[in-house]
Parts: sequence; C-alpha cells; structure tokens
Amino acid sequence: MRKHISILLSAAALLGLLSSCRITLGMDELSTTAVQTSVDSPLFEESSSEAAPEASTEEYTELTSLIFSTAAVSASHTVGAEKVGPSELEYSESTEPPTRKPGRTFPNLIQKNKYKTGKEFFDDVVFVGDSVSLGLRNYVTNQRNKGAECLGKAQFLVAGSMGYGNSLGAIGSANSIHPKYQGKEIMIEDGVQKTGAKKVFIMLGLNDFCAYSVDTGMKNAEKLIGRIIEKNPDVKIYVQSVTPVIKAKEHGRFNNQSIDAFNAALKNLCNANGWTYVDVASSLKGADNCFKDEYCSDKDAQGVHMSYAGCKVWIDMLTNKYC
Amino acid sequence: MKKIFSLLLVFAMLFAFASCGGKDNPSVPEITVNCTDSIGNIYLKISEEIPMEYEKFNLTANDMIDYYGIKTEKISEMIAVQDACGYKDEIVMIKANDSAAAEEIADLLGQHIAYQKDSMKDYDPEQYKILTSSIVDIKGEYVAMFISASQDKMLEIYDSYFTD
Repeated sequence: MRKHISILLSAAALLGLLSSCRITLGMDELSTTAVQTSVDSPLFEESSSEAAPEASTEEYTELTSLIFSTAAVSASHTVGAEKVGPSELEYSESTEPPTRKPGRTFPNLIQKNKYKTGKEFFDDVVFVGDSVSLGLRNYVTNQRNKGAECLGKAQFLVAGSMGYGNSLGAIGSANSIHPKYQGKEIMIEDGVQKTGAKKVFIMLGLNDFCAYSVDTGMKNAEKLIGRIIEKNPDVKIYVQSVTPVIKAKEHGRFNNQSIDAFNAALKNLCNANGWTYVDVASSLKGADNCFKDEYCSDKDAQGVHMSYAGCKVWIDMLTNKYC
Repeated sequence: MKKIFSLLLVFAMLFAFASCGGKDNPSVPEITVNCTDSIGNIYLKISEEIPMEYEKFNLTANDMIDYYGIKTEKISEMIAVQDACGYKDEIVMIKANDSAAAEEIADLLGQHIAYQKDSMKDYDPEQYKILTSSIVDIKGEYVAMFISASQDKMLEIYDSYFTD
C-alpha cells in the first residue's frame, strides 16, 4: 500500500513540476512575438544576418540629424529662435519699438506694429480638423523641426475623416471619429481643455457637406461648438471655411458649389453666434472657383488634401490676418 | 491513511496551480536581440529600395508624444517618417531603453493602427486595406511599425538585420 502511495505522490508532484515548466516556457515565447493587429499577418519572418549596407557620407550626415539621441531631446526643438535681420524687423516678435537712429525711419514697421498682434497670437491656439488639418499639422511639425517659426506654439486636435457630425458620438460608439491627444482618443471639447488653448480654430465640414443636408450640418456644428464653449467658457471660436476640391475630382454633390453653400451657412452661423468666420477657401481657389492643382497633394485620389505649397498659402493667409 | 493520501494529493495540486498563477503579473523579461546595424542605416536601406509614394518628413523624439503617445524617455534611438498629407505612409523604428519600454511602445503603436483603421474604414478603402494587414513588430528592445502598400517588403528588409 505504502509503495502505491509513494508512486502516486511522485507522479502528482512530477505533473505539477511539468505543468509549471510548460507555462513558464509559454510566457517566454509570448514575450518575443509581435503585437499583432491582424490575425493573418506573418509576424516573425526568418531572420538573416546579411551584411548591412554602408551609408554614403551625405546620407549619413542627413540622417544623423534625424536619428534621436537621448541627450539631444531638450535641445532639438527650439521654436522661434531664428535670428531676425534688419530686413525682417517688421516680423519681429518683440513688442519694443526699434531704436531710431538719425536719418533712419521705419514707417512700415510702425504701421504694422500698430495693427498686428504678433506671432504669439498662435501660441494659445488649437487647430481642430480633419485630414486636411492633419496635413497642416505635419507641415507645421516639419517646419518647426527644421528650426523655423511656424504658427507659434499652436497645437492640433486632428483626425482623418472627422466631421461636425461624426465627432459628436461617444468614444467607441459606432461610426464616431475623435482626435487623439497624446496618443489617447478624446472628445474634442475635452481635448481643447487638455491643451489649455484660448483660441479654437475649427476646420471641419469636408466630411459633412455630402453626408448631411446643410441644415443638419449647421445643427451639428452648433452642437459641437456649443460643447466646446460649455467645457471651455473662455475660448474664442474661429470657424475656418471648408477648403475646395480640384475640378477633376468634382462628382455628384461633391463639388465646389456644395462646398460654397456649406461655407455660406457656416458664415451665417458664425455671425449669429458671435464667432469669427475665417475664409481659407478663397486663397486656395483659381479663377474657375476650384482648388488649384498646385496646392493639392492628392490630385489622383480625392483631390482635397493640401500640398506643402497649399499649407504655406493657408499659413500665410492666417499670419497676415492675425499677426 | 486515506486522509493523509488526500491531503498530500491536494498539496501536490496546489503546488501545480501555484506554478500557473506565478506569472499573473510577470515583469517583462529582458530579451537580448542582435541587430547588425543602426536604425538609421536600416531606414536608409528601406528608403533606397522602397521609395515612399508621397512627400515625406521626419518626426523627432519630441513629436512622438503628440503623434503616438510615446514618451521621449522611453526611446534610446529612433526614426519616424510620415507622409506629408498626414494619413498615408508611416514608418516608425524605435530602439527602446529596455524590453518593458518596448512592450509599452508596441502597445501604443498597435492602438495607433487600430485607430487609423477606424478612421479610414468608410473614408479611404485602399488605405483601410493596407491598415488591415499592418503590424507592429517587437524584438527585444526594438519596435517597428510599417504602414505602406510595401509594408511586407519593408518588414522583410528590417528583419534581415536581426540575428538570433
């Protein structure tokens, strides 16, 4: 009997040990596999140890400015540190009047300072928008990374395919689209609060004017802006017009006439509520009332997204107006 | 005798279950992988072989929090490239400070792909299709994400720089 018991006990203990080993091994395997977003994608291809290609000196020099090193983080993002030469004095951020020297006057400068608020205007701005504004964010980020001043310290709450209508639903609800703030999806009104912005430049509508009637589009716009104001009572609202489509990509209701009608309604909505309407569209249109091809980055696709040249026109228009 | 036997059996089973439960909150084990070149050179090779379809620009480590929620202090070395229009091609290759940081970064990039997929579903079916098969690859402290029509080829080149 005792013999049988010891055999049984040994077997049980052995089973216990075996199962613990198997589970530990399983965990190790798990930690080396890829985070998969698609069930049918191969993750770990067979690796080979091919000799790495040598980078040319030119390419390497370019790359060294892009490859991140921890020590360079704080130094790599200096905004507004450009040197301002005499010919650029009129764009200086300084509010101090320039020193007048005998025989020299700065009539243009004095005139500009009298009416303009300076580039700091955009420091407390947040841009809310769809894929068109995503392009603006990328342009601005690129300029800033090159050391250029671009829209002050303006921030962005943008998402591809977002509109006045689909941004109203709760996060996770069907067909709703929301921007991300620091990697997390967020309701626009909460995002505005997180950024601490005092001015909200909204450019939505490109994903609304075909999906809804103008009336419903305006109701959605009013609702969204109402939520932003309710959550952030001190903000000033700037509603930017919907930007145009290139002639070759107009189809059905997706045309510049419909965009114009939507923009006219947006302008009325702004006037009725005391919000500022900003006409971006006119700066981007040609004589045919369509989006100029040279400002479009996706002429073969949707024909609505901005090239760098288009972003520059947009930014120039904003800075000329507000700085 | 039967009582003793039952007790011993219960004890043995408890031992076995304890082994299962011991990994509930595992600390991420440090996995060392051998990468034969710098991330910069891997990117050069990829961009030589597969030019991006759209105008592109580079993000800095400081931009990673805004674009992906990735904290700069988690990054040891990186390259992140986006197309200018904002929602097409994306390449991110990061050497994290350690395997735990890499897991965290991979999770954020995985969330980013899922988010982009949701945004593109009814908007750009072609891009949605690309996103459906986009993955985040993690090897020890190295994390990579490729969103491109040529993402499989990119991953293949990237993989060729790693040895067991």
